[in-house]
Order: sequence, then structure tokens, then C-alpha cells
Amino acid sequence: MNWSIYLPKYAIPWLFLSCATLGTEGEGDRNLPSAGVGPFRKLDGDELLGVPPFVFADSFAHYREPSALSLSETEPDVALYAVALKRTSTTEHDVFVRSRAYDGRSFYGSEGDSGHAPAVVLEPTLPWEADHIASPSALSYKGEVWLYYATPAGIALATSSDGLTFKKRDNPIFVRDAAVTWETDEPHAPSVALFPDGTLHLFYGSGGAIGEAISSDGVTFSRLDGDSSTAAIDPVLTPATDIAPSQLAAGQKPPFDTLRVDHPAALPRTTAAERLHVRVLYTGYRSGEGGTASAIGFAARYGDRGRLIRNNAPVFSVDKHEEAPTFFTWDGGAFLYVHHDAGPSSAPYPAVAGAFAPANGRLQKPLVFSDRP
Amino acid sequence: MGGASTADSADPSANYYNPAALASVRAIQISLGYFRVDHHLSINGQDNHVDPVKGVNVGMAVPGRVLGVPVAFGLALHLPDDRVSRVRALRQEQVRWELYDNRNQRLYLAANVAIRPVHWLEIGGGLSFMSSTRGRLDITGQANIFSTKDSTMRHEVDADLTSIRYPQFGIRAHLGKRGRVGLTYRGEFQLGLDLKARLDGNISSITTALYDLSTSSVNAFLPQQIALGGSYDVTARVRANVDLTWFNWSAYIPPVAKLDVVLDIPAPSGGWPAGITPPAQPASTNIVPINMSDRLVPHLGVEWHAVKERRLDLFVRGGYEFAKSPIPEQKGTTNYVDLDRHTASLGLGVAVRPRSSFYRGELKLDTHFQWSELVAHTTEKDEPSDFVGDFRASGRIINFGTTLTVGF
Repeated sequence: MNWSIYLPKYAIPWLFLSCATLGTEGEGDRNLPSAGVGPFRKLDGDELLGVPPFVFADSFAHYREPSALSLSETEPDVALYAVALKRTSTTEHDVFVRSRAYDGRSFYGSEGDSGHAPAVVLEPTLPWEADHIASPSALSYKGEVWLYYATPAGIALATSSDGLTFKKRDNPIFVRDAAVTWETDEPHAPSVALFPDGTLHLFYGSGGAIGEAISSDGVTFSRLDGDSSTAAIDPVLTPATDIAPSQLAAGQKPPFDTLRVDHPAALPRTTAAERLHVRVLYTGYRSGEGGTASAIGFAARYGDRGRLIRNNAPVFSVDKHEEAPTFFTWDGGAFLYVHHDAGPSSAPYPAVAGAFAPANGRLQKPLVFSDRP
Repeated sequence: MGGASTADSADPSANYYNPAALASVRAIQISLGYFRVDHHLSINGQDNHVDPVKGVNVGMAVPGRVLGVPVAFGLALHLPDDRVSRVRALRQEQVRWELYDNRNQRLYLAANVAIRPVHWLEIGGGLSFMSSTRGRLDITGQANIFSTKDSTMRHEVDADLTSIRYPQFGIRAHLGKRGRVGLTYRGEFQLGLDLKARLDGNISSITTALYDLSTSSVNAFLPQQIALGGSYDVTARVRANVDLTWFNWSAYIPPVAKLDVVLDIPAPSGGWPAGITPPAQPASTNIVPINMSDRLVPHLGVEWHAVKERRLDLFVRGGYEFAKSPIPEQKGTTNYVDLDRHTASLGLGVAVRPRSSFYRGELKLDTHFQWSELVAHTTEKDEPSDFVGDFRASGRIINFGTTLTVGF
């Protein structure tokens, strides 16, 4: 064998070819399964056009109590209904506004989107609304947008064919039942979800707990019992039992929701095992050294009725009075919106902050602001 | 041959299957091969992009005699071509394909010796070598929280790759002219990953901060194994093999980091400024036992000598194995995903014995193709408030490769 011919002809190219197989970054973590409810991380500056982590903010309008209405299963195209403060020269009262973001982050009319303002879609006009409406909950139903909201008289409903112009029902659709002992105040903070069997389930706050009611038409609701072992109608979620510091295990944190639970946001789904999975995010409150503290929790159940089981860890906690969660999922992950303190600590105001799950996922650069509310 | 080779190796592959079989090698053999294993593993219908395992295999078997007794020496090396080693210590809640994720991305080196004290008995053994990692990171200095560019930090990194060894032994007996039985033991090994980080400094002359973190995990674990195999020449051209391998999976230690943290940031005189909340000390990890089960894995193999001439041999091989997953149902907080696996394999081989002026040995070229089908399974979580929820896992693994063996 003539090595002087074969060596440069075959061995040297083979050597170079071997060196070309350089290592790449390891994988194995793509498309991992998730219940779509976090834990969430707040959005950072590279992911937003405005001041992070806020997606919908205005120091005058004080956007708060958001409700997300997903407009696509594959894209984070979302409409956001929220409470805003409307000021005139003599009065101020809360109204509902609607905005939209094609990327789940760049909302029409938010700070930074100069020249635009979100559309005002609902104002308190009826006597029983007493000039106060709160906690919108938007639902896509029968080709319309149904907007449930809280009033001093109970939970009310308005419907719209275009999501912008709403027609109110003449009376509240769900009011306090004196026979239900734990409902010590008027039902509020509604969240209505369409279940796979076609029924609508209303989750609501009252008396520091969360209750549930069911309806076949979205107008007439009857209460569901969270605990069928008792004769009374029970809530589906109550505050956690407090644990004395001496009883906590090393590194264990006390429950975050021992004072009250409120502001449910329900989103059912069918799991890979074909089970109905009712997911509810909520605001949990506890008494702290500096007053009442809050965090966003997650509770759920399998099946169409019964008590919700809470996760011991909050899904979002930034210690800035975060409240009123709403969320939606799409193929790329899940967005959570809450309102919490914005602005200087000496004069904070509420604004809607965004968070994303999976927490180790990265979002692409934000798109331009939406061109319509 | 479906991995049924404990009693039937007569080339450098004996370094893995049964070191005792090295003693039956008649001439010096050097093998060079390449293989690639592609994982197509999905959860809820979406591919998780688990890395392939690929690389070069080099083997050597050198026979000889000591005091008239046949002996042999063998070496085997697997050199991955993407990375020599990959270490990961994930949270135990994170979903991962536990047995395929990165356990197999390792450099492997084994050295064996074998002896044939009597004509029907071969005994062999040796050591395999791997490396574990220890590292330390120290950061000290002054952090200026008001002007970060004025911060002065010094850091030191000290890392060691320390070698670990584990044993392997084999024995093989010839039963007449047609039959062979073999037994192989492979020891357990654990690759440790120990990391320490210490941050000690002064924050804008307001207070001091100490963050001392130490983490320890077993990043790769191979259980001890005992393989019992038989091989029988059914005819002059057909050979049938069967193996049964016991895997001690119950000793498995998952690659979850045990974390110990000391965080000490004393409050400045006058207390913390409004709006500043010092970070709390992270909780130490409470590792949930994985509770894997020992498994017996059967292997079957058949070789057909399609052409058997003086200068040329052609082989066709087929095999099958079934491996039941050792990982229990993941109904709780952990998410170690694994599935039962059926594997079918097909191999083609050609051996030529040229009698030219410059080479008179045997050249053998073997190629293999292996298809593993993972039995789809749906996991139902006990807790509805689980962050992962129910999931359905499925997948297949495709392995192909070729080996050139040169005998002298």
C-alpha cells in the first residue's frame, strides 16, 4: 500500500470531517406538558414595549381587575376588559374599557401607545348599579361577548355582538341568598366559564370564600354545593388553615391565603386523560406585619362539581398587592394578568401587570401596539 | 442480535458483553465503528427534542499466551461526538425522560483481561472508567447598588474532573461443540456533581451579604447488572442466542440536586429602607424517593450464515428484547417519564479474508438497524392542583450504525 497517496486523499479529509461534528447545546426540555397555570414569572423589559412588568397601565385611568378574552387558540391574540377610572372636572367613577394585543403584551392605548385610548364599553347607568361597577368577566358565548360584572346589588350581565357595544340586562342575575350562611356580603368578582357539556359555571367571591353556581342559559344560575357531605350549601374554596411558625418544617413557608380568598378566574380544560379539569386562579390574602398581603393561588378539581383543591405554593407573588388574576393559554404558553402597585412607593396606583408560564420560557420581542381596541 | 451476546462474542464487542469471551479471539482485532441513536419522544403529541446519542466506538482485542495458557487483553472506548459529558441537575418536579435524557451522553472507557485455563472455560474481567465533577466558585468584593459600574467583584473558579472506576466480570463455558453459556456482572456506577458557590461582600457600605450554596447530586447512575446468556448452533449456518439480564434499578438515585444554602444579609443600622425587602433563605430540597423496581430483560437473537466460503462470509442477524419500565407511575409531584419498550433489530455482516501480498487477515463489516417502540401511556395525576397535570407519553427510538473490524 502506498501510504503517501492514501493518507492525504482519505485520512486527512476524514480528520477534518470528524472535527466538524462540534457539540451543540443540549436539549430535551421542549414542549413539556403543563396544566397551563404557572408558576408564572413577571415579564421583563425585553418582552414589553412599556415599563415592565406592566402591559396595561395609565397613571390617571388606574386600569385594574382585568379579564382576558382569548381570540385565538394558536396565537396570543387577546382582548382585555378592565376597570378604569373616568374623571370629569367634577366627578369620577369607574367604567369598563376594552383593549387588545396581538402578542398578549402590547395593548392598545396603554402607556407608550400615544394617541390612542382604550374603548369605554360600559358605564354605571342603572339605579341599582349605584354608580359602581366592578370586576368584569368576559366570555365568548353564542357568537357574542357576554360580560358579567359586579354591582352593589349583585352580579349583572351585559351582552354584545361586537365586544364593544353592550346591552345590559334590566336586573342583576345573581344575588345573595340569605339561606347561605357563608355569603356574608353580596356575590362579587364573577368568573363565568363554559364547560364541555354546554353548561355555564359561575365562580364568585363572598364572605371571604369562593362559591359556584351553574346555568344552562347563562342567565339563571343555581348554586352548587362544594361539600355534599353536609346539608348546607358550601363554598368550593375557603381560606387555608394557618400554621403556627413553630409547626412549620425547615424551609416551609406559611400558607399565603389564610385570611380570605377572592377574585376567582376559572378556565376548564380536558386533560390528556380525557378528564374535565377545572382550573381556578384566585387572590389569596393573609395578615402580615405590614398589613394585609396578597398572592395569586391555584386551585382545581377533576369533574364538574365539588370542592377545589388548592396548591400550597402561590403561582405568582411579588409582594405589591397583586390581585384579580385572569389568564389564558395558547399553543405557546400561558399569560397571567393581575393588577398590582405601579409608580413610586410613596404614591402607588394600580396597573395591569403581565406574567408568563412556563417560567423558564422566553418570549420573542414584542410586536407593535395593536391597531384597534 | 437484540443484545443477546453474553455467550456469543468473539471480537472486541466482548469488552462490553462478556470480557471472558476475549479469550476466544484468535488474532489481534481492532474495530472502529460509528452509531447514532435518535430519540423521537413525545408528550401530549409534541416532540420533546431529546438529544441523540452518537459517536465513535473503538475496540481492541489482543490474544496471546502466558505460560502456555491462552490469555487476551481488550480495550473499548466510546467517544461521543457532540460532547464528552453532559451534566444536569433538574428540579424533581420538572418533566424529563429520565432514562434517555442525558444519562447516555458519556465517554466510556473499559479495559479487560481474559484467560482460558481449560479448553472449555473462559474467565475475564476488568474496569470501566468515568469521571465526576467537583467545582467551587468564589465571588468576593463590593457591590454598589446605586452605580453598578463602580462595583468591584473578584471571582475564583476551581473545578475537578475526578475519575471513578467500576468493575465487570465474565465467565463463559463451552458445552460440547455447539453450545455456550455465559454470565456477566457489571458493577454500579454513580457520577457525582458537587458544586459550591460562595458570595461574600459589601453592599454599598450599607450592609454585608453572605450567600453560601452547596449542591450535591448524582448526575448519572448505571445500576449493577447480571446477564445470563446461552448460545446454540442449531445448524452449521444458524445460531440462536438468548439472554436474561437483571438490572438493579431499585438502587437508582435520581439526578436531583440536594441544595443547602446559607444566606446572611444583616439589616443595616436603622433597619431596611422602605420598599426594600431582603431575600428570604431558600428552602432546602426535600427529595421524593423515586422507588424504581428491579427488572429482568429478556433478549433473543438469531444469526444466519447466508454465505460461508473460504474467502467470504455473509451474515444476517435479527433480534428482539422487551424492557419493562422500572419507573413507577408518576401520580405525585415528580415527573420521571419512562415507558415499556419493545425493540427489534436487524444486522448485516460481511467478512472477507484476502490473501494479497500486504494483508492476510480478516476484514469484517457489520451494520445494524434497531427500532424501539415505546408503549404509549397516559399518566393521571392524583392532585388536581398539580402544575403539570395529566400527560400522555409515547415515542420510538431508532438506532443505526456500522463497525469495521480488522483482524491481523
